[in-house]
Amino acid sequence: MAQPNSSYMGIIRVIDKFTEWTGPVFMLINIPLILANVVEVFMRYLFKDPTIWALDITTMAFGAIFMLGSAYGLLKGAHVRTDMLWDKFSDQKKGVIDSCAFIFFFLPTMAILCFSSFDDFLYSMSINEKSNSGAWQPIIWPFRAVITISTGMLFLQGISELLKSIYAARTGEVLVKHEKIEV
Amino acid sequence: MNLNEILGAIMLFGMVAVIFIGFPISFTLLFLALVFGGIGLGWAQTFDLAYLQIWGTMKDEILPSVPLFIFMGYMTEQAGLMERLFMALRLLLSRLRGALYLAVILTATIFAMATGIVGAAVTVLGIMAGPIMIKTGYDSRLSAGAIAAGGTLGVLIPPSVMLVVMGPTMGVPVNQLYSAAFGPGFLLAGMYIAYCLTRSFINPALGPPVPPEERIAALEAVKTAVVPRPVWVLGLVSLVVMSPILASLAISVVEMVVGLFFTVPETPKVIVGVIGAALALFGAVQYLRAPFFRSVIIGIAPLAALIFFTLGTILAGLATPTEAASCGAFGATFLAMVYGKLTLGGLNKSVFGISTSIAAIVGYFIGHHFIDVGPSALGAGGIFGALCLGLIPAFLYSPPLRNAGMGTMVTSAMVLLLAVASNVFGAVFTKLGTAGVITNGLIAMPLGDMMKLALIMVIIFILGWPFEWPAIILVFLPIFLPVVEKLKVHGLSKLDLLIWFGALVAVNLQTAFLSPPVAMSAYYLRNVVPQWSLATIYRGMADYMVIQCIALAGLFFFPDISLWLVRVLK
Repeated sequence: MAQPNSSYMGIIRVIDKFTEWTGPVFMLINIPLILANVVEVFMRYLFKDPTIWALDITTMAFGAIFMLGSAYGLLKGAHVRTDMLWDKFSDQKKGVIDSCAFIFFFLPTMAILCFSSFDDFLYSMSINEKSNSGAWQPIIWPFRAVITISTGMLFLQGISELLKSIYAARTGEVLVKHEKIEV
Repeated sequence: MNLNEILGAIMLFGMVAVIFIGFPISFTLLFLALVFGGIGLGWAQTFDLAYLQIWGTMKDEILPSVPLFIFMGYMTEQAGLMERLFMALRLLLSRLRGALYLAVILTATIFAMATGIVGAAVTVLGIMAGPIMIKTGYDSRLSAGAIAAGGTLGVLIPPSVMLVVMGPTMGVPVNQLYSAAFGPGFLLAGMYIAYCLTRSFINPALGPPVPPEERIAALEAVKTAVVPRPVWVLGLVSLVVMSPILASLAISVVEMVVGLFFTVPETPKVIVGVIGAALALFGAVQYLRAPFFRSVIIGIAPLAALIFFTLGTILAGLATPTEAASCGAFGATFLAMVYGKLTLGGLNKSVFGISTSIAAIVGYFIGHHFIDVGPSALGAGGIFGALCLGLIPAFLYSPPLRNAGMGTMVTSAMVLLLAVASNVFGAVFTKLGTAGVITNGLIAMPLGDMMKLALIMVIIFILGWPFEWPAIILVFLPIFLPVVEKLKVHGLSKLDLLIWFGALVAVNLQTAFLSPPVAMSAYYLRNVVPQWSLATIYRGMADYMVIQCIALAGLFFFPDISLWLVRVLK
């Protein structure tokens, strides 16, 4: 079996390594997500002094963790497929389907979302937009950047997945095997 | 039908066709929504609509409980609480015929109250129970079915993530949906148990009692096990803390029953609580020396207390689902720590201590500077910052925390990205007007109200085969909702009707997790118990699907199965 040339593999490796590295980093968002409300409950019931920031921090941590984690999820093959027919396809056929889907579906969608959200982010930053859900009113434009960053990262990881599926389509061999994840 | 409505219909059929091929559902939905929306509504408007839907999902105030409940489930599993529970139940029940079925289903049911997804339950149950069921000579078809069916209860019994997503979509409070799901969930668990036990009583070969030598060995293991002080203190504390509430609940039930026949003065709850706590303390001190009771209490009481407070505060309306979920996730982590499961994974203790302290100090100043800007006098922001940064080393280097954290991130990314995509798709679909056409078509159908509801249930059942539940709830449910709202069934009020409908849909979608050949539970079980063939597992699951259908029919004709708890809690 012909080995893919080194630059081809190199691109896949660099992108995968980057996404792999982002996983544990964004996993840390779990901490404020859990703790904000715990501190809030303690303050409210023990000290009768509710915080003004718990709600904002919880929603922001929530929005950030699932969006930013989705590229890592793509790398790990976590985004569910309907596997009624899929499981019966050969690896080569899966590669063909995936290559088409990544080129025609995935990359354009992510590019569009990335660019259109970038405009909103720029506008939000230019007016220094504040959150309006409580008394704390933190700046909210970094949170808007989450959409741009996540779709950008998904786009990048999509390129790596595309290269992998093209390889599978050409040779019938799978470069990275994914585990199934159940919800 | 105008042009846009036809476009919407093409979009719907296109989705079904493309999804069947097997590309990840979320991306397919996003793409189709953008393309068809762009053609029918104009590109700029569609992109804005998509952006607003994504933004709206990210800013939702109820959905944060999704990752939190997922974390709680992962942490409970990582803390080995399921194993303790299973061992305790096995010891308690070992004399019974079919004891292991009972232990498996009870463990699964209790665990379902600590997790919001099907997730790892099937795998863990398979690893724990599979080998011993084979060794004891249990019927493989019945065993595989019990594990798979028990595992799926996680997505139905609160804190179900499915119901959290369903609540806002249907415009129903999540805590009422939760109370509505308890009845069907426990009914199903009861039916599974009844099925297994009946079959093992008729034919003892299907589920023999645990042989005496095994029982003696298990008891020996319990006797010689050294229980560290924090663990039994935790068990004792949970027992004593829970007992006043349980005692007052029991008294309330007695009062309610007696109150049907006589007028009784209300018993002061404080006295009942104190008596309950005193009894629990007395009993615990008496029996904690006995190894058997100690292991049962330590195995069950802390987890029960965690579940009790997490779900209790939601059902009683004392806390929002998100707050309760945060505390539940925190509590599960705390339990794991007390049980000594939060190991450092080879990291040097002093390195860990120093890095944690430095991070905490830095975190205090950052938190104090950025968060304590308002009238929060006690400086909770600084404490919050210190905790957040201080926990980073633990989350990065302690394997259970890291696994739970990564699992939470990946699973919630999958579920919620699907939710985002379904929201975008649903918004475009509604704007195109096709949803309205389908709704009007269903309303105009010459069928009785019960028949219409039955038809909707059948459609959802069929959709459950190829689709994941987030897509069904967020894309298809809004189409059926206007129809359901107009129905007059069982003389229910509109809110009761919607809550009951939610419970019906939840049971229906839970059934989809058991439907061969798409149910992933089967693959999981096959992976961890290789002795069972996929065909056996499928056959086992099919048996339990019959039970599901009976339960669904029961719930359909007797709404009180789900609504009684809703009414009691009102």
